[in-house]
Amino acid sequence: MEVNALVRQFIKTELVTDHLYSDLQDNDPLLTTGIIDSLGIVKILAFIQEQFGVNVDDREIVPENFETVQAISSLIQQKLAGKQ
Amino acid sequence: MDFSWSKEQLELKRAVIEFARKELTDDLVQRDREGTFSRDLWQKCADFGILGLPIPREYGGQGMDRLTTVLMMEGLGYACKDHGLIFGMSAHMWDVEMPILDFGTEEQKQRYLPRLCNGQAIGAIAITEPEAGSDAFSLSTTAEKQGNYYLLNGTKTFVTNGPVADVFLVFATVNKKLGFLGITAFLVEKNFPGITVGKNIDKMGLKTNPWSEIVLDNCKVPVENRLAKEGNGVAIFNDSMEWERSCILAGFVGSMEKQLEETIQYARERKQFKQPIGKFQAVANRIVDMKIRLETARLILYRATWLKETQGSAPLDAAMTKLYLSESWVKSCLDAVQIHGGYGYTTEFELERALRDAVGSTLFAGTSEIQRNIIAQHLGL
Ligand SMILES: Cc1cc2nc3c(=O)[nH]c(=O)nc-3n(C[C@H](O)[C@H](O)[C@H](O)COP(=O)(O)OP(=O)(O)OC[C@H]3O[C@@H](n4cnc5c(N)ncnc54)[C@H](O)[C@@H]3O)c2cc1C
Repeated sequence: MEVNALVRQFIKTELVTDHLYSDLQDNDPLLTTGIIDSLGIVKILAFIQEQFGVNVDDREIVPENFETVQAISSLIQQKLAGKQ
Repeated sequence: MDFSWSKEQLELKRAVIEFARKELTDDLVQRDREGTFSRDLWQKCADFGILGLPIPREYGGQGMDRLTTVLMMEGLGYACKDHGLIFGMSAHMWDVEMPILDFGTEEQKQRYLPRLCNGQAIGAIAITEPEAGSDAFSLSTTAEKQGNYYLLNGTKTFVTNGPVADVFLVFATVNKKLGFLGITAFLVEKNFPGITVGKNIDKMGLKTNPWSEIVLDNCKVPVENRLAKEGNGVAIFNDSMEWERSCILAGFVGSMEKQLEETIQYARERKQFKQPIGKFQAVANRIVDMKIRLETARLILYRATWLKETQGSAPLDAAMTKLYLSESWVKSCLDAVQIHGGYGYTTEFELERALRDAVGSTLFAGTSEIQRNIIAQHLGL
């Protein structure tokens, strides 16, 4: 599966509690809707580490990297490219 | 696995004990009663190098690794019963210096760290608000950017070192809609326009360390005083909480050791029913429990510090350390009071003060309940 699909799937199954967001799209907001909260970010960071084998640096935990599935996927892709 | 300290590390611990025995003695009972902070003792610790232990030499510190720092703080707690002073210095070190070191620009490090290490400036962290305690990320202090400044508005409370602090690490949101990722950290100096620092609030223990409210009313903070990026506050908060939860109680492990030694001595000397009370199993068992708590507290402290230093992040171990050390300290203080009987209840024996001090440790840096929540979450619950 591509990065976006894996991230979307994880967020849908682990973090989305409101059925309003069950059809989550890659550019839907995750922060202003509260889909990712302070507990959720811990889960996402662990998921990124386990699934893709990359670590997110503390300095990268900023809104622009987590505001959408697309933003998270881009961050992961950048890191994967950096590993090669 | 090697559990031994090097000769040099043990030498450093001995030197701190020697220093504390010689220099950090004053009328602590009286100062506790009055709730008086001693700038003089703070400065002596700064001159000895304690305030800069984990900070690299280029920023005015001692450049010690974290484990050696923890060992030295343990030595300090062993020889100095002023837990308020140790707590205040630990908050200054782990909650203000470390975030600046880990997240600051070179300019910020040069501007603040040398002054914080040499005692010229005292640091404080301001997260908690009257309506945002355990749920710290629900804070409502705002930071609105206007040109080269941010305007900060809000009220912070329970700020350790507050009344004597020169630099406050303040957490505020730049955009409430972004939730926890709107939280941003700022280095606010006490003479910036718009900050009002309250008076010391009387409290149960740790009374030689002052704390207060701070009110930010259109407080003008230059952009260059923002620590890291907008929205990076949560990462800074988590990093500093991990340091705090892992290491802030190191001094109190030393205190537990001293208390254990004194209690053993007392149980050997105090006679009832024509024999030392330590010969009664009920008394000896309490002392055995104190010993086991001390040794396990030590191990968990060293492991969490080592993990945090080598892996960068150790949230589970930090939470376990904070929970276990604080609750062990309270239990051991209660045991010590009980073994000393009525004398243990007097102010003169200094055990009731230690107990009052210990209770605070189950509240700051996240209450015991919050540490349990964090641990449960890491266990997938
Ligand atoms: C000695 C001391 C020094 C401090 N220094 C500082 C400082 O320098 N800077 C700073 O910003 N703050 C500081 N604090 C504040 C401290 O961080 C807060 O007191 C703490 O986070 C708890 O918040 P609260 O007091 O508002 O209690 P509340 O959050 O109102 O909690 C009340 C009770 O409810 C329980 N509770 C709350 N939520 C949950 C939950 N989800 N699950 C289970 N139980 C829950 C708590 O455990 C507690 O027993 C200090 C506190 C103390 C005691």
